[in-house]
Amino acid sequence: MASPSQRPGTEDLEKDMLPSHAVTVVAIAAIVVSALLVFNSKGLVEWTRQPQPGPVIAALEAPAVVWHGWMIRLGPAVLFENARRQVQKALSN
Amino acid sequence: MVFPTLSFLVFYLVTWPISWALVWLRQHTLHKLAIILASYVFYSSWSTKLAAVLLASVLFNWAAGRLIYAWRGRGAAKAAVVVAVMVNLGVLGFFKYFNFFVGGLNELLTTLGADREIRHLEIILPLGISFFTFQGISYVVDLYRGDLDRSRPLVDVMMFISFFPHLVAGPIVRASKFLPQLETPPDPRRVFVGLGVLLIAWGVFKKAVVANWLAVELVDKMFIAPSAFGGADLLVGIYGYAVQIYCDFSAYSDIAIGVAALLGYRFQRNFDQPYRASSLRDFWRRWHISLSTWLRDYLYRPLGGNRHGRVRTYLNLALTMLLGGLWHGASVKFIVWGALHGGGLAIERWLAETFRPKQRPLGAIARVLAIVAVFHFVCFCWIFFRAKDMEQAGEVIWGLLDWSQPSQLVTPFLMVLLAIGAMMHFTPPSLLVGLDRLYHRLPTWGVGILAAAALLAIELLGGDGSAPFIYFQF
Repeated sequence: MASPSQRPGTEDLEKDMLPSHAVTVVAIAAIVVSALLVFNSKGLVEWTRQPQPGPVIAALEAPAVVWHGWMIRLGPAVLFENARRQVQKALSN
Repeated sequence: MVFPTLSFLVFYLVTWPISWALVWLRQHTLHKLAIILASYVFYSSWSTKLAAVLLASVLFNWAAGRLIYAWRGRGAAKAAVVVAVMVNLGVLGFFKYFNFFVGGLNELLTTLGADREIRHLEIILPLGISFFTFQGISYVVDLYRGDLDRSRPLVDVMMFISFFPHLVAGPIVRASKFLPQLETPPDPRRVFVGLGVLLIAWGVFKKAVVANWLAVELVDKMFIAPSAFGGADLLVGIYGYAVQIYCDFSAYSDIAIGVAALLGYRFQRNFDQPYRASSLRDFWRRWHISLSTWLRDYLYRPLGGNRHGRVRTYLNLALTMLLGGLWHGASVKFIVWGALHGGGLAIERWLAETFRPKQRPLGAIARVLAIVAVFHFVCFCWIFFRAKDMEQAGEVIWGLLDWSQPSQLVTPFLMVLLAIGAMMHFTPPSLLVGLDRLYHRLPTWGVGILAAAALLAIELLGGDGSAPFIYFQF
């Protein structure tokens, strides 16, 4: 039997917790990323406009702008941006 | 590339499926190589040139490990481990402390009347060097002590030292705890997804909402010009920093542990409600646990620990904490911070040995008083840790005595933030277990919606931009 110092990991944080299959992360990540893309499309545009973007990120700018335009027309981006402005205003005062 | 940013999310969304696909294809070595490649991409987002320092550290410790293992049981192994530790510390010392010591030496030369000065060098500090150097030392020392049964292949040592979740700000992972995890591929059926998702969301909230707002609205304002504020503001500012640094650093650790957990790897806990400590010794069992246990096992005990009488024990405690302070940065203020903790630990031990030799547990009232006293001592030490320099620390301490000015900084919002930070600090581990149970009762799409809602809420509540983590500077 492995000595305590050789036992893989520490397991103290996982104590009483249950493991799952790694595949569940895919579904969770898909929903999270979709929600961010729909509501925070402005964040995507800002990300593509970071200083010194690599070629891949620079190439994503135009599609990100088009996507953000759709999200504004459809409403979720406007809704989220208004909510953010209200919250930030309330917190700053 | 900082954890709670879109850049990191994109990086992780590429790394995660590749890593698990290679496990599924039974390509264990390729899986480790993919994670190593990802780690160097992660590190190179700050500096490609300085990634060479990281690589050199890995290669050196791997080679030293092979020699130590080959010479095990012989005097040569001891010589090899001593050289390996000295080289590791030498590299750390050069990057981190060279100009600090040159400055001190020049001051001494000036005092002695010498008209020559030693030139400072333009040194760029490699990000995370304090962390990856300590991990390299952990590898060679664990091998020498026999805590690791054999030297490991280069790919394993590389992944152990360079693994991106802990690379730039810890937790400091032990070779004897992490390397055995690389023996077999992670099991995709036994991933602590609930723990990982909870820790990531928990950490992002602590950092993006509590720590960032406290920094912007209270701590930074107060520490820019402490003389402009009265005692009340300074006191709240110091409490604010105590909450900010906890929320900032523990957030990084939570996210690191969560990110590693989703990849199938385990790190040790790094924080355990540190402000509940009823003694300084207890505090260091709860704060930055991976550093304090590293210092205990690789410095305090080799110095002799408590095996050579009381005076030597006090000296060892003080020296360990002094060097622990210096580990944080080349500055007198960090040395003072470490010396205060070291001195405090030595005095506390002397008091306990002299007046409470039977070590009976404290009564309820005494315990509360002890917790309050330890918290305030820790807060006093934070003044030196946070201040720009010793002069500013002095300004803050003197300012605490002046209660003539009305408060300018204290707002209901800040009080709410402090309360939230305190609540998150005192959250019992059973809550995390309860939330994990909830995670397992909900359908996966429900967890996804909750996680998305949490991230959007954090995005709404967080301030603009993402301030760097405090421990990035170390």
